[in-house]
Amino acid sequence: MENIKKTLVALCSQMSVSGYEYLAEKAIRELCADIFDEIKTDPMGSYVLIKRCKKENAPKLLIDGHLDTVGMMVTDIKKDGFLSVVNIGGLDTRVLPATEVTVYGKEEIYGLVTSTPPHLRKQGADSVPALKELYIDTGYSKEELEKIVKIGDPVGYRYKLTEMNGGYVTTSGLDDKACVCGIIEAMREIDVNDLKYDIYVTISAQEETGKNGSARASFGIDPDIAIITDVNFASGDGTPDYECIKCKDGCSVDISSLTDKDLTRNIIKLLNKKGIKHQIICEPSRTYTNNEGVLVSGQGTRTAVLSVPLKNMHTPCETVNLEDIKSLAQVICAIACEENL
Amino acid sequence: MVELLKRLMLASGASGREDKIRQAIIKEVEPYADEITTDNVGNLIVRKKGEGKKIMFCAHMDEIGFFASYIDESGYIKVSGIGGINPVSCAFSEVVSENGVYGVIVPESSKEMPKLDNMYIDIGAKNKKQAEKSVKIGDYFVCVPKMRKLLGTKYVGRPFDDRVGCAILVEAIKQIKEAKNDLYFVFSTQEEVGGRGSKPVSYSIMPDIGIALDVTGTGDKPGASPMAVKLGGGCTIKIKDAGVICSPTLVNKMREIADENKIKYQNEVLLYGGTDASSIQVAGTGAYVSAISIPSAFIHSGVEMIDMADVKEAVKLTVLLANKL
Repeated sequence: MENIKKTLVALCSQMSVSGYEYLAEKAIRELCADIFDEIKTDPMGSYVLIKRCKKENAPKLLIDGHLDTVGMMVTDIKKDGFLSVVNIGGLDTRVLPATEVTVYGKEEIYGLVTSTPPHLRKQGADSVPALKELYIDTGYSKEELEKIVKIGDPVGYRYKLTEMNGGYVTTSGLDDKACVCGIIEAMREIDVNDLKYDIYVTISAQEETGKNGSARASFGIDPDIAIITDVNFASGDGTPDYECIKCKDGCSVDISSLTDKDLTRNIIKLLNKKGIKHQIICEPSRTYTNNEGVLVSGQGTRTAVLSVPLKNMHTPCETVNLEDIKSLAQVICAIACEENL
Repeated sequence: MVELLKRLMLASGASGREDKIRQAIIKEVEPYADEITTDNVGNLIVRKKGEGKKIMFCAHMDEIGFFASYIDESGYIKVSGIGGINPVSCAFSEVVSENGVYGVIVPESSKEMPKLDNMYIDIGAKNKKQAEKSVKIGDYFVCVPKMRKLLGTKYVGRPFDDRVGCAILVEAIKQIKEAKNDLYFVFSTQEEVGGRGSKPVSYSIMPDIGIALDVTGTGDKPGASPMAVKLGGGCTIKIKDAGVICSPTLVNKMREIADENKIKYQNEVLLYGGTDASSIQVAGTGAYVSAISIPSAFIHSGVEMIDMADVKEAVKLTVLLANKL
């Protein structure tokens, strides 16, 4: 668990709003240099990390988790020094007011999303403000701000990782850094001699804005099999059980029209045979993951989807249980060491 | 430049019907190109060969318009829209068909907000039989092209979207004497119906860098959606639109080159609408992309407005990027 925690901190402390994944390059290289044979970057901002099994004509297994997170971008610097912004990805704007953010200008500056007190809100205290009603307050004057911030600079939730009781951690960006962490830890633990595939890990870009990064990386790799990992809704107060998976029950294997039937069935069989804890969720016609792009990239790829349960998606306090990350790592290890999936 | 732009604007071509504008561009660039080809979806690819990076510049040839979909007994022509037609801005406009038949597009009622379903083209025919002699189902119409100078360096007319991008590329092709990079100037088809032409051509070229040239919105007219781009404030360097987040490293490099050469530019974040950059970015293994845009008010209307001063900056920046990227 200590390795998982360390990796999670290394990943989550990096700003990687969709389109700006390249800023995390140094951290990714430091984290992964000893684990992989080769690390490459591509124009979309994705990282391709290769770990070879050193067997001749080994099939290629792609394992994807996305690095990018939802965030914002500066659209204007207002006359009183406030910043207007547009969302990048499906930001949960209901919880934005009074949120702490970092504006990535020439330097990183602290910002606070404005919040009109309920007493003064014309639309009523219960209504949720749209993003265009919100601004970022930095404390700077317009003149000072213009020296630091340009239109088009990205904005992210302020990094803060908190360990909770019961093995839970909460911070922004766990979608999908929890899974990236699981993949890296699996690759750290695995014995190369047991590998049955040349492994191509894609720590991919721009999932939150159209799922394009992994599909482009996959096009270049042309894998035989692709395992897509992403977070999925965790059940809890107010969320319907039938659309969710449970925290602490391990990662899930998703069953969907978009995932390969045999590959998925073989993975479930393998996990049952080895007694590895997991759960199943049905995602009938869409998975809303990178599987949708990888599936149809190039000449098409056999894909399976693994999910980690996550609470409070797309908010500053996304929450996962470390056990479920460990479970994902175990499942990935089992898959990478099994022939003929 | 104004005369070139006018020539390109007069060669109409709705999406998927770009023959006339393609011919017009070929005529302009022929003496300056190393190679001119077209592909299966009608894209025009003009090359200036060089040793360095593969750079694809892309401006779309097509414009929005209408297909004649039905001719009623009285000779009135119902239409279906090609691309992002705004019924309010095209109601009561003069139109012209691919065969040079003139008419007007009008709503059935002038009291309600017009909808394309309730609009028709009147070519002056007395009945269906006479109309059918001039117009067949499937013929396309566009609003009549025109261009007029206003005060200063401002111009109104149509279709600046995206003949102004085409004109900038034609001018750049003429100005670039020796290509240091391997340059592909693509005049794309079917942008207005989903950036379709630029997809296959990006796959066949697989550029390292893709730069689109297109119009963008402005925020400085009364009632305009908030946007920090001004007409006459310089060309823009695109950072984001509804379809693409441009590659930050390329954007930074473009700004650096623009700053060094005193190009007047604005940083563009466009909330609604997109351009060919999004298609180029996701072709093959992906490309570094951004766009140079021309601020334009009243886009997709008969009175699109641009400032030629912005166009000049865009030409300068395009020529610089071609050799300095």
